[in-house]
Amino acid sequence: MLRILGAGLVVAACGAGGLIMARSYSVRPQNLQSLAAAVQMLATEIHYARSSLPEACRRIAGQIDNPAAAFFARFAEVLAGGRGLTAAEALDQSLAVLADAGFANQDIELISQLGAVLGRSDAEDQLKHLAILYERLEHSRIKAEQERDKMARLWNYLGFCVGALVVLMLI
Amino acid sequence: MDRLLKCMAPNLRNLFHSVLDWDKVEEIRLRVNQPLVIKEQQIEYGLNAAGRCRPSEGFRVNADDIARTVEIMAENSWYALEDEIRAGYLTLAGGHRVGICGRVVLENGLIKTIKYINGLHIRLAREVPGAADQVMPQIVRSGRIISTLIVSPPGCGKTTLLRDISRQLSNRGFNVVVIDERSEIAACHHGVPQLDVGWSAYVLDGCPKAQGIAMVLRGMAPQVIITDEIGHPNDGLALADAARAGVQVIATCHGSAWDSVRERAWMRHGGAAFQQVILLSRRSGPGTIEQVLKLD
Repeated sequence: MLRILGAGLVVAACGAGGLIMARSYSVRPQNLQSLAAAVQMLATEIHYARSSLPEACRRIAGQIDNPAAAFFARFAEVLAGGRGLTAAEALDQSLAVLADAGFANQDIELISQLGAVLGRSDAEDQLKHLAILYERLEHSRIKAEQERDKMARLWNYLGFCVGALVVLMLI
Repeated sequence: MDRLLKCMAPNLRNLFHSVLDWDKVEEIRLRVNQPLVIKEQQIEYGLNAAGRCRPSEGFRVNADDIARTVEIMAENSWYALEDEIRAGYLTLAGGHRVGICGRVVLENGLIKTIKYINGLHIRLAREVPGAADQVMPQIVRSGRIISTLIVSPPGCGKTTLLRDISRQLSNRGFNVVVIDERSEIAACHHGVPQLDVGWSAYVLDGCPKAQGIAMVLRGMAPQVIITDEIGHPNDGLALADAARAGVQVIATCHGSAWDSVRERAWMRHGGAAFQQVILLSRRSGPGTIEQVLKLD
């Protein structure tokens, strides 16, 4: 009886581990979608309202979900902090929010590249850069979704299979 | 002045601790690879790590100091200030005007932007309540406002005088509309006047004068329109419309003598809007009234 209970626990634990791994693959597409939406909002703020960068980021932070919201709020706060930072420096200091939230390094790198140009040219040029960033985020999101579909299914089964294998080896 | 200093590159901020009396400072001049110079009413001096010094011994401002200062002044949002930059200046919170020099980028013969900025000329705005005391009897006679053109070279206190005229007319209950194309009169920040233009003044901020005059004539029922630096022929046409509508105008324009101003293109239509001209100089300090000319 005890053996059966132990075997069940091992299968359940490995299965749960597999499900957690599977779930982790669905977070990245969501994060990328949220960032892409925020980039589109920023383009709108620049195109129609000519809002200053801190003001636009503050407004965007109020309209999207975490962790992208926390990142935009932090960026607005650093920009408006009166420390005399350039947009690139303020962005660098804000990217830690994305890293802490588990964003992939390659996604953080995409946002980081924007720092070199953000706020430093006319609206037409800014919109071009934001459109390019949006395309890249969308491209990454599609790839992340394909990976999620493939890997999530794999991990959903793999966890339980590994659990069963361990049980068989122990018996 | 804290707000102004926050607009400077961090590298430059500490230098300003040796400015003793900010009320006297009129201009701050930053040029790439050249000394930082301050102009007070009658004197110029440099600033370096040791304090005040001769202008030529001032702290050498480098390209990064200028680029960083511009980025901070523009709130990291160059795109939001395209029109101002095309016109060669920025207006800071508080109404301070920053003239910009650098490499001009043209598109189809028109200025698109300025890059490689190499010089910033900061002119400090300040309120001088009472600056208009001497001219108010000329501007309001028997309870009626007399349309007035204020003429002087740059730096003689036109805008300061105009702001105080607005404040005094407004506080007497006249319905004043200030068309503040360059945000220098009321120094609006996010739409809210930072300088006192009186309790009954509306402020149309950042609007080209000619369009602004047409807008306020339609919607704001002004008794007097106050605006700065008339210069474009369209301004003259709009002023003529205001005069035809029975609205008084108090405005300024650059010039050192009335004879040179009356030959300008905008005067052809706009001249009829004014009943008198006040000529200013800085002979006895900014805002010295040289002459009041009655026009026929």
